[in-house]
Amino acid sequence: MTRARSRIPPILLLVLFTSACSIFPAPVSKQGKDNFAARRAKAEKLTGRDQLSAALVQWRILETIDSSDPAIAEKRRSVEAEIDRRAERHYESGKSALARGRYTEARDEFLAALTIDPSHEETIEELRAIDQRLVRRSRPKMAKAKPEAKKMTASKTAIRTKEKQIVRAGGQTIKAENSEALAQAVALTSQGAYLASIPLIEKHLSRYPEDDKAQSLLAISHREVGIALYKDGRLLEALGHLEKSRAYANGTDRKLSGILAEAKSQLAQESYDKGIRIFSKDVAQAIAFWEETLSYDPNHVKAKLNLHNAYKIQKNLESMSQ
Amino acid sequence: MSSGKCSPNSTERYSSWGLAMTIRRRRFELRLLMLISVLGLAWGCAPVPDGRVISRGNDFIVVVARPRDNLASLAAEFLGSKSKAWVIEDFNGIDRVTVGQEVVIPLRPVNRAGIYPNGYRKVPILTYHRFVSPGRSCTRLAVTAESFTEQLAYLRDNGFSVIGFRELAGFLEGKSQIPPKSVILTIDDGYRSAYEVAYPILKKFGYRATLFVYTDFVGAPAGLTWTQLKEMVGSGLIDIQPHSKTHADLTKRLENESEAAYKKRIAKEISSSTRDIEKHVGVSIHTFSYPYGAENDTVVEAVKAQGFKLGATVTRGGNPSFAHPFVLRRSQVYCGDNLKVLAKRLDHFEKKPLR
Repeated sequence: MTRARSRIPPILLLVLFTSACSIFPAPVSKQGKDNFAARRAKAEKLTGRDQLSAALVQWRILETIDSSDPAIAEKRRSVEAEIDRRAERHYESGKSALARGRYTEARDEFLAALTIDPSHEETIEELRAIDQRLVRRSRPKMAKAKPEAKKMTASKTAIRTKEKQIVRAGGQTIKAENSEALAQAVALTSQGAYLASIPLIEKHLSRYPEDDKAQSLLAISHREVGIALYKDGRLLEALGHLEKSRAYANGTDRKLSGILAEAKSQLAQESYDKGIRIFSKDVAQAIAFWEETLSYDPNHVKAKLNLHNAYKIQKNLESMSQ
Repeated sequence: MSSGKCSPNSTERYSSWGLAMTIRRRRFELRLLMLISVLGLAWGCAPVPDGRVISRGNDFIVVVARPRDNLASLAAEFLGSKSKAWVIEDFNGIDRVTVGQEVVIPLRPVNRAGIYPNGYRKVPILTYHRFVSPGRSCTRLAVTAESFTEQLAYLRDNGFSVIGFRELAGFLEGKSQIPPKSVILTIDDGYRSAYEVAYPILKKFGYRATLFVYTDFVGAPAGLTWTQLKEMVGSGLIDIQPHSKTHADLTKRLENESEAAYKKRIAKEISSSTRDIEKHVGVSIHTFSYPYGAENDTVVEAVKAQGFKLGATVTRGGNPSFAHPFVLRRSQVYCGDNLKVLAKRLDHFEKKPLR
């Protein structure tokens, strides 16, 4: 009996030891306690300052360190709920602005929603759609070339195939002068048919991309077409050609830069004036015109000022109608 | 009365009983002492399993740095790779750890969108076309070897991390984080100079780049060969992705071309180049570069339909986490662009109050 009793304690002690290891709370050092208190103070401060996204991160870290404190869990939940509420409010404001064609305002609202809740999927989708629109608006428009120039005849295809075979077989360099497309393009430009020459030069360049002469010729053709369109008052189309010309020009062309700047400035002024004319009848439409002004000339001070005021007026009108 | 006296027998009995009680009490005290010791030991062992992890959750691990710890060693131990040291660095706002410092290691992206109250993060993509050998003068789209070297040195010296399109796709999908100053390098068309001039310089810096080639140009006098492309892919630094078959502007419809014929032609431009690259180089395809950067809804749909994750234009600017994945902005680098111009192209943070 005595022997049996003396055997029990070590087993019991082992069980107690292992279970206690997992049950007992962490002994927190003074440094650890200080860190915890500092982090908690930081979380409270961020919450108080409305920096909810950053505050939530701190509450989540505190919860990781001490999951047994119900006050921390409660704080975390309340911040999460507030984040949801505010992100949703900004998202709805953004949608409303979007419906009225106010892209700049919509974008700002969506960004505000995402600042609060970086994982708000619907907001990300809306911002992507606006982003796509912005990219396309920033891209220079390319004018349509004459249809005749685009047709590739059977004989040209044959020449092209033959040239390719020669290149592949012997590694021999084909001189650009031998290119049928370029020869035609040169003939067209000498006759002043710059627009028709463009697709032919592009075709040539797709096979001889390093041909600097062809690049210069393309720059000239685009420039001449651009200038003609500019003189004709077709500013948007002119802008597309002039941008292309700049991309292919070897070195700086002051004349080109001057006309480009002039075309952009005129387009900006045109849309600005349109905004002024329509402002008294339709504020939303005026906003759209002034946003367009800024896309041509981001430094257009009057458009910026008017936009700022128009947004305010629009907001007041909305609150009055409600 | 005799009962009131202690007989020798009863005294003996009492003294043995007292001894037994004393022994029992001692044993009890000993056991109690051992129990307290065990519990004391247990209390000490429970909290810090490996001596420095304060706590471990699904989202964070909180540790106290020990003498041999540094950002890379913590990243290797808790995030699986030394290269993720920037995750700890960025989250804690530190550039090194000191002994006894409490460090929080995020296990999941915390701010996956890279949006802050003062603005948002952007990923610039640089686009090159041709390169000219040292000592030769440049043309508009051809950058000299000296300039290219200088530009890569600028990236290195200013803390930029060169990433690839896969990482960018993860960032846009919200699945992964990328280093704060990330940049992507791309080379369009597939000129031979990419192999002869740019590739050795990229190797020197250990930087990755993506080559967008239009497959009709492969094997042409000024173009790269499949052997050269394969060799570059083998280095692990270069990725090859399609830039169409003929470099035609895919947004332009030919005269008298029906909608169906137009769509078929675009699909062929994409599929043919994709197939050739997969066949000759053996890489998996994920990003399409539009010739001239020109795209429209039809082209984007065709690219999506063929399984691409991303599409790249040449519209200047950086790409935030909410960038449209099929109209990514890229900034072309031209001959004569100095480091000041390059710095503008590398703008990686859009400052904008967002609250």
